[in-house]
This record gives sequence, structure tokens and C-alpha cells, in this order.
Amino acid sequence: MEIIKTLEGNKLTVALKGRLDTTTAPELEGELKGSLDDITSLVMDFKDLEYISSAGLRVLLQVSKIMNGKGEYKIVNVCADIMEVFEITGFIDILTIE
Amino acid sequence: METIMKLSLIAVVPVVVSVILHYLFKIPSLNRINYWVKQTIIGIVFGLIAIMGTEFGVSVAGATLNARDAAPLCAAMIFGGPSGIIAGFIGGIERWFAVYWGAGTYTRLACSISTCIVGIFGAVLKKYMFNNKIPNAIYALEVGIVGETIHMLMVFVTNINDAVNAFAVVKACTVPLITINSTAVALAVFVLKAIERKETHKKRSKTVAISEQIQKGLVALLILAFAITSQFMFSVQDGIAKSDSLTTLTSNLEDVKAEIDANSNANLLEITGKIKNEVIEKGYDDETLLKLSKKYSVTEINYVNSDGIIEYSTISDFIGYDMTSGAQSNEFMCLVDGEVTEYVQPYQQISYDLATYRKYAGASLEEGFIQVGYSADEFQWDLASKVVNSATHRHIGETGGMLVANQQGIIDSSSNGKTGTLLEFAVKGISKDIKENTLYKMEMDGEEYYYSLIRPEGYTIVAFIGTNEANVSRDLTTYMNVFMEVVIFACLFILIYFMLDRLVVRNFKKVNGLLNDITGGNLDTVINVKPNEEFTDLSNGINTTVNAMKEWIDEANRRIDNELAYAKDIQFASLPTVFPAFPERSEFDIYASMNPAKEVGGDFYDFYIINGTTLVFLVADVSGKGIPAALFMMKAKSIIKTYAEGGIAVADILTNANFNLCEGNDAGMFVTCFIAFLDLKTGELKYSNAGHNKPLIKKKDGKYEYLKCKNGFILGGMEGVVYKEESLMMEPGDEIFLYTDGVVEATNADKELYGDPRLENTLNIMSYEDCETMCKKLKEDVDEFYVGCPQFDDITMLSVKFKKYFKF
Repeated sequence: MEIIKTLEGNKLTVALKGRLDTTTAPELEGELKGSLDDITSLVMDFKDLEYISSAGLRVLLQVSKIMNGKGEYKIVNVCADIMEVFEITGFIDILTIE
Repeated sequence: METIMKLSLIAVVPVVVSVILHYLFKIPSLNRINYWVKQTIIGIVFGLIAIMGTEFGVSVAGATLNARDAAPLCAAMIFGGPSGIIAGFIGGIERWFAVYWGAGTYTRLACSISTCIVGIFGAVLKKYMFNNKIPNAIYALEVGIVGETIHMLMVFVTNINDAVNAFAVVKACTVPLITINSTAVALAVFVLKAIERKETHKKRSKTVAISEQIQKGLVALLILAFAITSQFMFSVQDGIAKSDSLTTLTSNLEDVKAEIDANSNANLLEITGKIKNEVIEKGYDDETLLKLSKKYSVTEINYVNSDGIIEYSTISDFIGYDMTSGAQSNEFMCLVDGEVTEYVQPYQQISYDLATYRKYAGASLEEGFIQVGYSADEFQWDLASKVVNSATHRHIGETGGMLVANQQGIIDSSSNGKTGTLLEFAVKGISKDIKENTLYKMEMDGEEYYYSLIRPEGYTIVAFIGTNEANVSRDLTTYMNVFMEVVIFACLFILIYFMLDRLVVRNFKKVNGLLNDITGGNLDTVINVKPNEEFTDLSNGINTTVNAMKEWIDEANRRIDNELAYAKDIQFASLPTVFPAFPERSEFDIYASMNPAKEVGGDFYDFYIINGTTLVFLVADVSGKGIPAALFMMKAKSIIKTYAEGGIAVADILTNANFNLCEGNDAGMFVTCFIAFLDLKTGELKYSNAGHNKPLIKKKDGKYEYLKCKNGFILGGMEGVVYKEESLMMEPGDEIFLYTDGVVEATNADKELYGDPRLENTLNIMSYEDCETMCKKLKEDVDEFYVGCPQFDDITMLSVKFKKYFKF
């Protein structure tokens, strides 16, 4: 998986490419953990994300807890397959998805 | 001023064109053009700029200055070697033919060849030294300097038989040509590099490459060596030039001196001879001598007897003077000895009175001799007609000549029309302190000259030669030397850079690449970079370390494998795995299986009968895999079972389990779960879903269809979630199938998912006797689907068939 971070002031955009699964989720978690301190707006771009597993969902949930009260957190460009996963797991109700 | 403006304009053209071309090739349709076509286009454009350089050159000191060479260098440095070579050849060939419409013929061959060479030079450097990247401006500047130095050397080489004129051209062109061309290249490279940096947001790397460090040191060292050797060469050549000039001047001075001496001696001897004859006739008393001195315009006449004593004289003080008492006067005693009959001395101080200068000659009588002396004023008057032409035709080299000035400091004879003027006006700075036969510098009519002088017979003879002419050999040698050193040092620099790159940098990169492989997890990588002893040692050292590490890792892995096997056993032991599970119950059939992707998985299923008549079954999927998932799974499983056996509603089980699982869940683990209660008496199925995949349900004689149910949020994700209960009625013969996403998200080599539609379809076309064969056949179909690909997720299935109502 490829993680492309773009920082503009306090706004961080994270574009993911490939599969977010058990092997790659820890990598994303590690990337984000240290870099969310001063962030007031976090956008996850799923344009090139092919697959998300429960381990990936876990990271999204963790990030959601960190960003809660700190500012905006949204996920954009979600493909149909992944949207279905969000629907099944109920994530669609707790995440801001555009 | 206009010249500077014009030259600057010429220098700016390649910069502007480079920027335009850079942006033009950003346009997608142009960017797609084939590399070689692009290079050709760029080569032609810069070739045209080179031609422009030739056609719009600026004439300075008889030579045409232009920025032709900057064009191929810019093309090569910025856009790539081939374009530089093309531009170089276009510019060079056009320069060859440009003589037909006005370009200079003198440097025709040199200019043509060097423009071609410079293009090739730039291309070679671009490829082998700068690795096809745009170099730093400072290197571009150096490349420009070396390129133009080659150009200047070519002017010498192609006009080797006319070195002096070639040198005049080179001397006039070198500084402006090198400056304008190297500045143009450096400027263009600087601008393009800045644009490229801005576009790629590339920041300067904080670490310095080994080649860069050595390059810096090398440049400093070479510049120092260059400065020292050039200075040394110049000093030696300067010394030789001055000594050569003095030799030339001195030999000319000696010639004129000899001529004046000869004339002066002859003149006085002639007068002395006449006076002697008259004395023999008339006697030599004081009165006669005085009359004779006036008649012949001499200063004094003495009669010296055979003892050397002055007996008679026109100057009464001298009477009685002993000629042997002074060195100067004693020389005349040769006339008494009878060795010679006449004797003449150069103009000099006299022994009797050191403040007085005289020229003496003597002629012997039968007894004693007559001595005649005169001062410079008198004999110079006599000599004037002879001296006047002595320097007129004396030219030294092309610019040099001579001056002869008399006792009064008036120039009597000159090679450059200075006759009649005062010497001190003609030769500034001349004075009595100026020593004979020594080289001095002066300015005359705005030109600088070396000069030397001698002072025979009261005359001052000056010989001079233009410093430019005198130093032409020195300057030529120095220029040649400087040019050669620039080229040699550039070659040396490039060679050292190459060696360093080939022997050290490339091998380091190879080792680093292989190390990245190893770090990336491929411990079987063998480092085999062995071009020399040091790298062989390094390679062997790393290989040994990696092998040792590998053994340790294998050891650790074996331990972990053992532990995982235990964990798997424990996990499996916690799942009901004995089938038929309830051989004594005929109301339903149930089968379930779980295949973890790793040794221990995060999926689980469970089923049990509560109150004797309710079958509870569930399938769940914990986020992640491995030990953490397995631990969380055990916790979730026991919590759910505890609540289920407590006899509360199916949705409340999930609501309560969520509350418990959120507690202390710092790791953010969660679990999806579908749980159902089947009342065996009535066939009512009550179920609740916490973010799990929708089950498939099949009515007797119907088809499998996805159950329409609400999706609650996952368990353990957020506190306070309330789950909903739904229900439906099952009749004998109805079936329900639960599974985890490992089934529908199994992925094949084409990255296709197994998918919901395929699952539904497979279940409907499959034939099976009971729940067990159904699950096994489905598993086979899934395995077949992703054969050859890794299993990403646990695959769990649970199938229930309601066969008949429970009866007491």
C-alpha cells in the first residue's frame, strides 16, 4: 500500500493506494499516530484504495477517536465496494463520508 | 556601452529559449513526443541560436565576439546530450560557411571545430558526470569556462605558424568570450534548475554526497595548483623576457657608442696632429699654445717634456704638473716611452681636478709630447654632423628605437622624430640616478616601453622597445600554459570523478540497494559487490551478519510457531467442532467451520441450546488477526455466551456485550457479529446484527436470498450503542447460512473479489445432502476461486437447517 501525505498548514490529506488490510493497517496507524497532534482537519482520500479489511476499519475508528473534538475528519472518494463495507459494519453512521 | 548591451542580449537568448522550451514540453500533447524527436527539435532550436550568435557577433579589437558556444552547452546541460551535439554541429558547420557572407576567415577552422567539440563535451559530461540531471549553476559555469578555453586553444592550434597574430586575437577575445559564454550557460542552468526545484517541491538534501564533498575539495586544490603554477610560469617568463630585452637593448647601445667613440677619437686625433705640426714649426711656448688653442677651438694644449712634467700650458696652473702622479695622466707616458706616436683617451675625469671632465689626445715630439684636451661642449659641436644620423635608422624590433642626447640634454638624433626635444621630456622619469645597462620602464607618446641607456663621451644614448612586443613571448606562453592547465585540470577532475563514481559511489549504491532488500525482509539476499578488496570485505561482512541474524530469526520463529500452534489448539478447543453437534436433536441440522488465514484468527462462531428449545447461533469477526485478535475473540465469545445464557433478548445481548467490550479497549479492537435465536417450538427466528455481513436465507423449495436486516454498529467501537431486534418465521425445510467476509472477499490473481452475487449463485446451483456437505462444497468453490493466491482473511461458515417443530 502507498500512503501519500500532503500537509497544508493544519490540514492533512492522506491518500491511500492499494489494499488496507492486516499487513498494511499497522503501517497506516504508525504513519498517522505521530502526525495528528496539530491537525484540525484530516481528509482521507480513498480514490485509489481497492480494499479495506476489519484491521483497516479499526485504524479508521482509532483515528476518529483521536480527531473527535479536535476538528474535522472526513473520508472522500469512497468506491462502491468499500462503501458497502461501511454500510455493513455501520461505519457509515459514525464517519463523515463524502 | 552598446557593446555590453548587445553582448548581454546575446547571453540572455539561450536562457529565455530554455525556459520557453521547458514549458512547451510540459504541454501533454508535446510531452508525449518520442525522446529522440524531442532531442532533435531542441538541437535544431539551439543550433539556430548558435547561428544567431555567429551572425550577430560584436566586433571588439578586430575580433568578433559571440555567444555561439553557449547554445550547444545549454542544450546539453539542460535538455540532454543528443540535443547538445546536434546544436553544436549545426552551429559549427554554419560557422564554416559563414565566411561566404562576412564572418572572419582567420578563426574559421578554430570556431567551427570548437563549437562541435563543445556540444560533444557537454553531452559527455551530461551523461557520465551529471547522470542526465541538470547540474548546479557553478558546474555549468565551469563547463562554460573549459569549453571556451578549448575554443581559444583551437585558435592557437589552427594558426600555429602565425602564433603572434593568433595570440593578438586570443588576447582580445579570451576574457569577454569566456565571460559571456560561461555566464550564459550558468544563468540558463540556474533558472531551469530553480524552475525544476519549484515544480518538484524538491528541497535541497541536508546530507552531502561523497562525490560532492570530494568535488569541492578537488576544485579548491586544482584552483590552488593552477594559481601557483601559472604564477610561477609567469614569473619565469617575465624574467626571461626582461633579460632578453636588456640584451637586445645593450647590443644596440654598444653599436652606437662604438660609432660615436670612433668619430670622437678620430676628430681629436686629427686636431692634435695639426697642432703638433704647427708646434714643430713655431715652437711651444705658452703664447703660441694659447694662439693655437683659439685657432682650433680646444680647451687646453700642454707641452710635456720627456720626464713627464708639463713645461708649457694654456692653463698656467698645470705648469709643473707631473703626469705620472695621476692614473689618468700617467696613461700618456706611453708617448715618451716611444711605444706609440699618438694616443687618445675617452671623455673622463682628469687626475689634476676630479671635478673636471676632458677628452685628451696626445702626439709625440722628438722630445716629450703635445697633449690637447677639450670639453664635451667643444667636441660635441665638432661631432654634431656625425651624431645626427647615428640613431635615425636604428630600429629595435617593430616598436623600439634609439635616442642620442648631447651634454645639454637635447636630443641630437632619434629613430622616432624626437630630434631637437629635451631628453627629459621625451623619456619621463629619466635622471642622473638612472644606471647604465639596466632595464627601466617608461611611457612615451602613451605607449609603455622598456629602456636602457649608456653615457659615452658626454652623450646619453637611450635604447627602447615596447613592453607589449618585448613581452609577447611571455604572454603567449602564459596564455597557452593557462589554457592547457585549464584543460588538463578539467580532464583530471573528470577522471577522478569517474574513478570515484565507478569504484566507490556506484558500489556503495549497489550495497545500499541490496541492504534495502534485506531490510525489506528478503534475508536470502546475498551481497556480491566485490570490485576491490574493501568492498569484498564489506560484502562478506554483511553476508556473515545477515546469516547470523537469519539463524536467530529462524530460532525465534520456531518458538513463535510453537506458541501459535498452542494458541490455535486453545482457540479451536473453545469452538464447538464435533459434528453432528446434537445427535439427539432431530429438529434441526447445524454445521460450522473456521479456516484462519494465519495460525490463529479473529473469526469465530458459536452455537448452543438454551432452555432446551432455543438454538442460539452466531458468527463474528474480530478486527485484525493473530494473537491480539484471538485474545479479543475469546473475550467476546465468553461475554456473549454469558449474556445469552442469562436469558435476555437477542438485541440486549449485543447492547450489553458492546458495553463490556468498550471497557478498557485501548487497542481499539472491535468485532462484528450476527446472532440469532431459533425457537424450535414455533420456528420464530429473532436476530440482531452488529456490523456483520448479511446472512442468506432459503425458504423450503425456494432459493437462497440475502436476509433483509438492519445493520447495527460494530461491537467495541463506541459506547452506548443500542441494537435492534428483528424476527421472521422459519418453517421446516428452511435454511439459513452465516459467514464472514473472508468468503466474499476472497481475491483471485486478477484482483477480483469472490463477491456476494457469486456466493448467492453458488449456494443455489450447488447440490448437497446436509449442512456439512453444503459448507464443505462451498469452501471448495472458494478455494478454487483464489487458487495460487494467499488467503487474506479467515473463512468462517455456519449453516442451519430447520427440520421440524419441537414437540414435547
